[in-house]
Formats: sequence, C-alpha cells, structure tokens
Amino acid sequence: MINPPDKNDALDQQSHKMLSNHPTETHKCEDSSALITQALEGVPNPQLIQAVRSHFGACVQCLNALDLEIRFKLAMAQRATDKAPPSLQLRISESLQRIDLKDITISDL
Amino acid sequence: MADQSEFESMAMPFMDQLYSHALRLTKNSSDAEDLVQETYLKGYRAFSSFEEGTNLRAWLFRILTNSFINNYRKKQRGFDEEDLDDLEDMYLHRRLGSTQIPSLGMSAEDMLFERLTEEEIKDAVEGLPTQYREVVLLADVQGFSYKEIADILDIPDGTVMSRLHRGRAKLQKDLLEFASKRGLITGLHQDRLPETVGAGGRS
Repeated sequence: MINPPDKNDALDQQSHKMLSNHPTETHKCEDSSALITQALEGVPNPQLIQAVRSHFGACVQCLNALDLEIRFKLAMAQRATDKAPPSLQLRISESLQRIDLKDITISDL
Repeated sequence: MADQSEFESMAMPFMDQLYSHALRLTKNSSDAEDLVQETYLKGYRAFSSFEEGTNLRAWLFRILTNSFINNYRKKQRGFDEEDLDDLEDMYLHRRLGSTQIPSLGMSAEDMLFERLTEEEIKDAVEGLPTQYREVVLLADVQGFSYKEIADILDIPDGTVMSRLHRGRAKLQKDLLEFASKRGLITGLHQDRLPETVGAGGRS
C-alpha cells in the first residue's frame, strides 16, 4: 500500500524546489524579491517562510524586506475585509428558492 | 458532477469573502450585494457543471469576477483602466528599511502598520486601478495562489505577477503617503535603500 504524500513532505519539496537555485552560500540580494514573492504565495506558510529566512541567513536587509512584506500581507488580509450584512444571506436564500432556472444564462461561467 | 441540492450549504460559507471582494471592486455596498446575489444565482444554475473535488471557492470567485466585468467594469471604462508605473518591488522596505522614530521608540514600519486605520487601508486598495486591484485582492486578501488567480481572471501567469508587483508597490506607496500626510512618518528620502533587495525588470 502506498501512503499519501505527507503535507510536510510536500512543503519540504516545495521549499527545496524554490531554493534549489539559490544556495545559501551564494545568496544574492537581487534574488530576494522573487523568493519573497514565492514564499508569500497564497496563505503564507510558516514552514516555507522559515526556509526562506534560513536561506537569507545573516543578510539583515533581505530579512527585513521579508518581514515587512509579511506584515503588509497580514495587514491586507486582516484590515481590508468586510462581513456581509445578515440581510444578504436571507435575500440570497430566498432568491435561490424562487429561482427560475431558465432566466439565467451560463455566459458568465 | 455536483448535486444542485447541496449548493447552498456548500457555497454559503464563502459569502463573507465574496461580499468583501465585491465591495472592494464595486466600491459601494448596494452594488456589492447585487453582485454577490448574482454570483450565487449563476452558481446555483451552473452547479451541475461544477466538478466535485475541485475548488468551489475559486469557481465562485471566477463567476463573481466575470459578472463584475460584464455588469460593472464596463461602466467604469475610461477612468479606471490606466496602467501603473513600474515602481520598485519591496517599495516599503526601500523607503522604510529599519528607520527608527526615536521620540516614539518604535520603528517606522510599526508606526505605519499600527497607526494606519482600516479605512485608510481600504481607501488605498480602492484607489488602485481595477485590473491591479483584482489581483492584489485575490493574492493578499483572499490568499489565492498565483495559478488560481490566473484561472479566476483568465489571464496568463506572467500577467498576474506583473500586475501583482505593480499593484503592491503602488498600494505601499499610497499607504506611505497616507502616513506621511498624517504626520506618522517624516523625513524619508527617495530611493533610500538603492543597493538592497533587487527589483528585477518586469513586463
């Protein structure tokens, strides 16, 4: 029986793939922007971020840049959001019950 | 093939996210509510074509995006589609770096993130041209992967990255200007950290 891939293994592979072209001993600051962009893709993953942080090693400028981008992303996710008004859920539920399927086209899908 | 009777229970948990996205796109609550309602009605109608096991959230965002383009974005054409200048990546880092504000005993970035209000952040987001706003919202607020964003917006991966870099940089520039106007941060210089993290050329 083959076990499904472990989530941590997948992350290890992802960070390995991401950093394979950027060995720590040859860290170049000009590569950091691309690495930070990759590390912050989707919902930021602490393990992946730690791998990039380790890769940057003692490069304070790149570590600061990473931390600033993380703070920016968190601020966006936490403070640029709104909750739907309770009335909207009711309105949608009611319209789903009344829907005449022939009235809608699928051109927007 | 998805069972239409399950649509409501499966799709309703995404309503807050869809509404928040719609509100940032349309910039008013009435249009946002209409857009979300339209998204659910279209989603319900087409749910039998949704492949179970694939990403329902991304599927709904795609419907919402297309409905927005068809019904709202066309009205805005002419004043909301401008291109952005190619600002440097990591704009905040280049301007703030590790600047300290001695009188307050805190860093400039602490000042920026702690003192900017939610409204200022939302205003800055809504100030972005639509094509950049869509990408930044999907990436940074909704947490979609770059590939998912390309699918939702039906644009190439490279365009996602280009719009994301430009949109983020413009947003960071605007946030810094908000902070500067309110006197939260002063004394920053242009191109403060020219030798640091590389920007790289982008199309």
